[in-house]
Amino acid sequence: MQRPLVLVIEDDPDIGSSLVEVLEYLDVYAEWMTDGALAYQAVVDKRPALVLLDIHLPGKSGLEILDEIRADPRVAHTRIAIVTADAYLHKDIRQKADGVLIKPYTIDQLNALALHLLEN
Amino acid sequence: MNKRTKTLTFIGLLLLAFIGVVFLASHFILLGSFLELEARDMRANVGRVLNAIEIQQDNVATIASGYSMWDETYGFVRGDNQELFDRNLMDTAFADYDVNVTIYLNDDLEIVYEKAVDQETNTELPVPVGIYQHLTAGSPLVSISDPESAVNGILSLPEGVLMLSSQPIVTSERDGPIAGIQIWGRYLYESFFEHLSETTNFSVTAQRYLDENWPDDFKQATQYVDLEGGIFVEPLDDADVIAGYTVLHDLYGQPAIMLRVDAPRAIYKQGQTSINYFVLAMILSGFVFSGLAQSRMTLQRENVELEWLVEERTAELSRANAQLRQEIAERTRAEEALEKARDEALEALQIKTKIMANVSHDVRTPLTTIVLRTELLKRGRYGMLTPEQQGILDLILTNTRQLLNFVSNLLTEAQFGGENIAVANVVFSPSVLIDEVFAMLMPVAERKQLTLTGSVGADVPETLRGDPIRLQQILTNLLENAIRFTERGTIAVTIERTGETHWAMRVSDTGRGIPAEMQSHIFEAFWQIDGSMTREVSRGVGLGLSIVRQLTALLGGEVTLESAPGHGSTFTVTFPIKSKE
Repeated sequence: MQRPLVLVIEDDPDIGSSLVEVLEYLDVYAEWMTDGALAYQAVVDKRPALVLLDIHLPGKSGLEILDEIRADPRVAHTRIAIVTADAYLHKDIRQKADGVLIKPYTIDQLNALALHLLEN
Repeated sequence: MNKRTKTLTFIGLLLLAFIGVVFLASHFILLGSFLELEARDMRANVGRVLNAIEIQQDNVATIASGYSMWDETYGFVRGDNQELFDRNLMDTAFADYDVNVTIYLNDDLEIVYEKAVDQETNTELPVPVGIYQHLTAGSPLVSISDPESAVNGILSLPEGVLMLSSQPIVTSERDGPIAGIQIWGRYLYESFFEHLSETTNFSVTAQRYLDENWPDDFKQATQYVDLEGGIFVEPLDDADVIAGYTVLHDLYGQPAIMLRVDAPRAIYKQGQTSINYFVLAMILSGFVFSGLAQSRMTLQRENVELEWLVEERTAELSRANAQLRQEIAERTRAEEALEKARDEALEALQIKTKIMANVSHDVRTPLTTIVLRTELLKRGRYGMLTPEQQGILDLILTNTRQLLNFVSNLLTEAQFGGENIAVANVVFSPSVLIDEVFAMLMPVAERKQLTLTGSVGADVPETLRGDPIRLQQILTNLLENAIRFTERGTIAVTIERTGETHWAMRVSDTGRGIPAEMQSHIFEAFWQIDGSMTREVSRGVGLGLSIVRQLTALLGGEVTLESAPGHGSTFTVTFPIKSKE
């Protein structure tokens, strides 16, 4: 059985590389991209089981990407967790997303969220 | 002497001169007119008295004619009916007609009958002998040739003055020839003039001309009567009476009697009274005028004073108005400044919040890499570590979390007082809440050799709803505060149910405790118990408990403190159990 893909959309290279390494450590198959403009197409193409989506992105914001994915019936069901350094997210964003992870987060927190979303 | 007194004196003198002129003019002109009027009136009065005398004369003539034109008399004078007069005629005539003397002459001027009577006493008098000389031929009294003619007048005799009517004796049909002459006469006694006085309503007195008792005023009047056209008018010494003098002439045209007619000086007195009233009226009007003039001057002066007062008041008012306007302008400026300051403050607050959000974001971003890499390092991803290295990594992680908590508090503090803060209402696990806070702060407690215990009550649901990030922030601050102010002992964190509707987080320490008088201050931002304690405990800017209080209120909860010096402190935050919205 093919391992589920976790797509990381993160423009900060330090965080992106660290997160991918943590996910590998947690035995999760992850791909990482930095360009928000390409994110939606990547989701359509790769059909990831979970998207860890940053909000402040070059090209296109995380919220726009979220709306694009939710608007496309082919990928609308995709699990999406917002991962952001904004301490207090607006309620609308929380409701659109399947989960929220505030930076900085611990490996345990990430693991709990990922396991939770991937299992359900 | 001021101007006003001068003016008043001048007006007064002018008024006096005016009144004097008016008085003199009125006296000479008006009173003169009155005097003239009085004299004219008096002449008319004297004329009236003369008329009355003439009427008496006519009466005598008319009554006498009844006898002179009578067949009986005619016959008697001619020698018949001799007993006629003796029998009935003259006695009644004397009594009825106020006649005193009757003489009947025949055509030869011989006396055929004569008689004199005092009709008042009804006694016979001697016929005045003085009259005989007037009965001779050629005398006016008997010069009658025409049956229609008669001679009427007065005759002054030594016995008295007689009012006479001499008439021809004819038949009852007035036919001639004239048989004789009938002379009837009446003495002008005092009673005659008294009677005259009664009928004319004037006091009439008479004096035989050039009598030995001739009074002075009569004497004086004789000089003027003729000059004055027969009537001389003169006020008597007694100012209340005016007298009019005139003369009655006898059949020969000689003055026989002087009459004096007295009348009250009604016109003169009326004139005087009128003039007095007129002058009085002038004086009064003068007073009224001067009073008015003075009133007018007073009024003008008061008017000037009033105008001055009004001007002053107006000036005061406009000054007050200007001041008021200035105050309003100042207040408006102050309000504008205040409004601007408030806007600027609000803007500054928004900028501060924005800056803090950016600071928070920019601190959290690198911390993410630090935490993740440090954890990977600690978990042996990059090779096995010695316990000392592990300890160093824990130190790094703990300080990172403290730094994170500090930044979170700053951001939260900046958000309070700004726009409404969004509150999450999501599912969270109470035990995970404690674990995560412990994960961060356990190493700190351990370094102070404090025991940290955590428990969740059996009756607390596995999951609650709320804002886990802020609840974590509350618990972190409470626990950090407890660790900071506890030197030894235990810090217990419990989550328990309080009644049906609420749950609570409780942090109890065995620290020094907080004096009662300070308990109300410890929730104030940037407040610290004292300088010494601040130096003793290394970190904290005094935000923790203030954040706890504000966040608790934001989440609809309540924070309470039980503490006493030497007996530790227990902070409890209670929240309502929320259902899904």
